[in-house]
Amino acid sequence: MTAPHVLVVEHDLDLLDLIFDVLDAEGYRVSRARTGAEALESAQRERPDVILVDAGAGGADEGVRSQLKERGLGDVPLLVVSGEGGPQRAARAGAHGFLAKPFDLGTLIEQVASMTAR
Amino acid sequence: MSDIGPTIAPVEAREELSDRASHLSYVAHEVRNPLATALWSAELLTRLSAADRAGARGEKLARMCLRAIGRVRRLVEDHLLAERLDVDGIPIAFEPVAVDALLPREAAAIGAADLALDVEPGLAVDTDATLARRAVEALLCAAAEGGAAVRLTARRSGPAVRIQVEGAPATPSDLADRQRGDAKDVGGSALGLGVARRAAAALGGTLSVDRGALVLELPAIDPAHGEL
Repeated sequence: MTAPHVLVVEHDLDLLDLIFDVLDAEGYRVSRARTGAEALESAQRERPDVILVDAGAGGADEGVRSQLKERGLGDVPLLVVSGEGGPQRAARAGAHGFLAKPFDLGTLIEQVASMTAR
Repeated sequence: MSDIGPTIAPVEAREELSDRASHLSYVAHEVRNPLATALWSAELLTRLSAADRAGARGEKLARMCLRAIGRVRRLVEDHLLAERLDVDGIPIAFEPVAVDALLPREAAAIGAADLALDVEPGLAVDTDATLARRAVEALLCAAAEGGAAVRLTARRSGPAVRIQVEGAPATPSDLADRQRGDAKDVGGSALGLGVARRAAAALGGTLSVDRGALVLELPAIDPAHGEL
């Protein structure tokens, strides 16, 4: 069985590296993007099982749902992480989950596992 | 009988509060990112075996953690200084200070690829050295954004000393407090220009942008009239 694929969208390179390492160690296939544009390109190419997107990644969460729909990826679950916004904003962005930074790594792992039904 | 009812703030006051809320949201986001990095890298370090902790992976995480803590420290210090300057909460000690004494010597200190200093000999200002040094450092860090080479020129200009910093091009809007959703900084210097703007005002000077360069003007002092 193929490992679930998570696309991580985070503008902060250190955070991107850390989240990659954590999910990779949990056995996920992980792709990385630093902007909304990179994320959409990657999502279209690789069709991830979950997209984890930082709400501050150049507005990556805003409109990403509609752009995913336009590309036939409207059913890919979004997990929004943010240091300033709240779950309401994430819900407006069509997200299935929300984590406020700085969240526990265990919480991240649980949330991703639940969204990929592991 | 006094009429005590709800009061409605003037439009300007409400806009000011809204801008302030947006700025605080920006600050929160900027602080939480490196805070998350510091917490997570430390947590991952504790999960490593002693052997791995001493190896390349451990070194990478330790460096990441220290870098993140440095960013948090800088952001928190800048935020607190800006807040204190807003309420005149900083004691300012004016004294004659040589402009040379306000400048870093190493490009690495400001994250620049290169740092060129061109200071008119004998130039001095009537200022608070600590605060002026923070302002100059903020200008240099902003100009070094993206690892740009930075050039600082200091010249006498009438009653002031004009310190001009060229590097990554600046715009007048860069001097305003950043707001929610603004492009994010990853080096910890995101609040620096806000501090420099406030410091310039507190020191009786100005901060402006001239053709992409950041310009700090501080009251000049004739070295002959002050002990340096």
